[in-house]
Amino acid sequence: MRPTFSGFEIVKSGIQSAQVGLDVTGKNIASMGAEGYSRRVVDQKTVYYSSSTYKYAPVGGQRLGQGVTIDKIVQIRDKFLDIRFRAANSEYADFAKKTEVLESINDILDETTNDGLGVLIEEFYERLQVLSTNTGKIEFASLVRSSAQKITETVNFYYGKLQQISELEKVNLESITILDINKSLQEITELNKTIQNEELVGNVPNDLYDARNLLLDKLSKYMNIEVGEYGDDSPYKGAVSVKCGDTYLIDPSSDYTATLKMEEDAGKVKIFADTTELVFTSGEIKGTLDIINGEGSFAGVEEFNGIPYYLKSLDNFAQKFAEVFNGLNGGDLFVGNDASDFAISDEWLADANFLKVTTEGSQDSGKNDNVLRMLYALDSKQQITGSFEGTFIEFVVTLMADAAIDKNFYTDRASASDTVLTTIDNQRESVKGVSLNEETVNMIKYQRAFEASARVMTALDEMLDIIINRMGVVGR
Amino acid sequence: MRLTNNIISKNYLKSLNKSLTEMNDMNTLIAAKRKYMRFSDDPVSALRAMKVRQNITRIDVYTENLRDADDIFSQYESVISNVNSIVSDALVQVSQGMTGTSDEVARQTIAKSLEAFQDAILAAVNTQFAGKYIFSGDTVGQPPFSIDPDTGKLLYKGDPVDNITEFAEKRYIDIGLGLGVDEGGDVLPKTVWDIAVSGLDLLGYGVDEEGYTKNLYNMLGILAEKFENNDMTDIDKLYEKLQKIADNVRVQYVSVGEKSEYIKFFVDRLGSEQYNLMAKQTRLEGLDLAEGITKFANLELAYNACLQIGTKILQPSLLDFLK
Repeated sequence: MRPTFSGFEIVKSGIQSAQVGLDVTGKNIASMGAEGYSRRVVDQKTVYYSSSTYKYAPVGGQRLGQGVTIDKIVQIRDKFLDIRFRAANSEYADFAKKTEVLESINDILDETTNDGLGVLIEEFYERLQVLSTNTGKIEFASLVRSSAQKITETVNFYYGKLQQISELEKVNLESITILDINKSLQEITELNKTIQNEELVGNVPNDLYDARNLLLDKLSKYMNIEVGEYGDDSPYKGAVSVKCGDTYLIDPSSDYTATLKMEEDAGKVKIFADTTELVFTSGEIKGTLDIINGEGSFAGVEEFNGIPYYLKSLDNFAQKFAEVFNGLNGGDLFVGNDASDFAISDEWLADANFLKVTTEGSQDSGKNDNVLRMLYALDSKQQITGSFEGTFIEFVVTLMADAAIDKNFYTDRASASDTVLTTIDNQRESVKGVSLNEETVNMIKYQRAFEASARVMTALDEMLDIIINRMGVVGR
Repeated sequence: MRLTNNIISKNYLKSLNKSLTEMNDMNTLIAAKRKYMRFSDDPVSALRAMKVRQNITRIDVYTENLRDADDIFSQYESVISNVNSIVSDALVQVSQGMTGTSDEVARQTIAKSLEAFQDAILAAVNTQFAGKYIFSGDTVGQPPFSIDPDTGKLLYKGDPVDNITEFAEKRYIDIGLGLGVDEGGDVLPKTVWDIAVSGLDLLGYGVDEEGYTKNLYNMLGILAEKFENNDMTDIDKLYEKLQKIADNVRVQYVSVGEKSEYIKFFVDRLGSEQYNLMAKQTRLEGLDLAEGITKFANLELAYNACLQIGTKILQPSLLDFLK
């Protein structure tokens, strides 16, 4: 037996779900430009009832069910792609950061279109040559001196500029990056709690998931993170944990949220999550730390050629340059302990002829043997650092080349990992993004479904009209 | 793959930006007529170009050193030719004075002119050029010759020239032979070029086996004294000696000429080396404009096409075809 109004109920559920479907379509279209939005779909289910629990349930082949119901509105998202995206994002951020800073280092050292230390050493060489044919003349001696002064000032300048880059990166790390990370961690913890509460009462807080995922994406740019979720039977279901390496940054099970801070220890910058030092394998922080801490060949182990590498190289250059020329001169031409206070001596500053042109007899005899010795020293191999033996110019060019080759290398790697990131992002977008064509089809679909359901309703109404008003009135 | 509007616009923007960047980079290269603007753009070429650039400046330095030397040698030549003509005149005077027809007065005159020649020679060998005493061997900062006020004899850096038996003065310049220094700190002669010229070589030094001075100045002094005193003993022999000295001056003339020739040869060689290096530099760093502009035109075309496609690809969806 069929209940009289069961058809109305069925059609009503159709009309309602078509309306909800259209609402979801509207939400998707409205949010398609929002960052981090993942599309929603209506999870429609048919309603079935069991003949044993319903008094008037039809039996046998008549069973039809009770129309449809909206089970829930779900978001379409592939968690595996999220993991891959975050890994690629932090790898790219590491290389991009290095590329960016290496570009600044190159700006200082690169002599392709500017004159720098290499050109100045060459100028010093040229002026010594001129002095060698014009010994004893103060004007040529003072040309040599002014060239030497330019060398010392340029070394100071390089040193200062490089240190400035390092300082700026430190400030950026401490007062922008770390603050942002701490804020994001707090926000994720808050979201964790809200989501847990929402899920507890049976809601599906899609917008909060999106917000949390967006924050996790942002964190992944800064560092390598590992996001953990809890199963259905866990008391922490709905919350996520965040780990960097082996260290928990967010641990819902112990209600812990880390606060990151930067510390400097023996010239090395380190990042701590409260008391535990974090070890980064990728991300912008890894890039920054490599730049700030990397001693290159000066470190015992293999390290990135960071700013300390260039600073130490300049120190070694200044010390060796001073050692060689002071030795040949028999009195200090150059003073200073490292690249920052490398300068020409007061004696030389007071008297250009303080540079000894000959070791035999009077300085104004016109002999030039010591100038030739200096020229030879400038052009012969020196052990400038523990691992470098070559001329001063070669050393400067090698420094330049180190920065350039690293820049070249990391630009290539950044561009390669950018391609990977773009591919994964496209894949992710292809799953979670809103397609206007699809939504338009959905729009038509729901509109038509609504129209058709309404028509069925009208048909049912007319049938009842026949039963009530027109049936059994024959011969009246 | 499911394609969404966001993917299309994101990818489109990325390509458009890439296209514009490439066009801009090419434009910069063309404006600078360079293959690359930064060391990091092409480290291998840049490193090689750096070396070539250094070699070019080195050649400038060596050429400049050789030119300096050449100027000095030209000066030597003119001084030596001057001395040579003095010697010739002296020979004429002496041979005239030797003949029996010359009387005491004439000989007195000859003596006076020989003394004048002495002064001229002293002035010539103490010549300064560009602030250097060019006949001073290795110590060009100091005048080489002076006269002993007691004997009237010539002194070379304080020593009587007649007493000098041997000397070796070297003044080296670097002309790109690979300057080297031995462990004791002495310059290796083979790796440099000696431009020292001593007045001693020109004027002669020491005494011969018969005890006669080999020096022009002193010889003229002896002859002047003889003529002054009208003393003609041994005059034939002295004349012969003077002739020998005159021969030596001519030999010096020739040897300086040879050095000048060597400089010209070497400067030419450096010049062609420099030309080759500059060609290499252009090949490493320079952009062929035709090639650059063709590339630019291609990039421009790509950019325009990209823009044009944008209006088509970004616009339509099913939404646009609903009535």
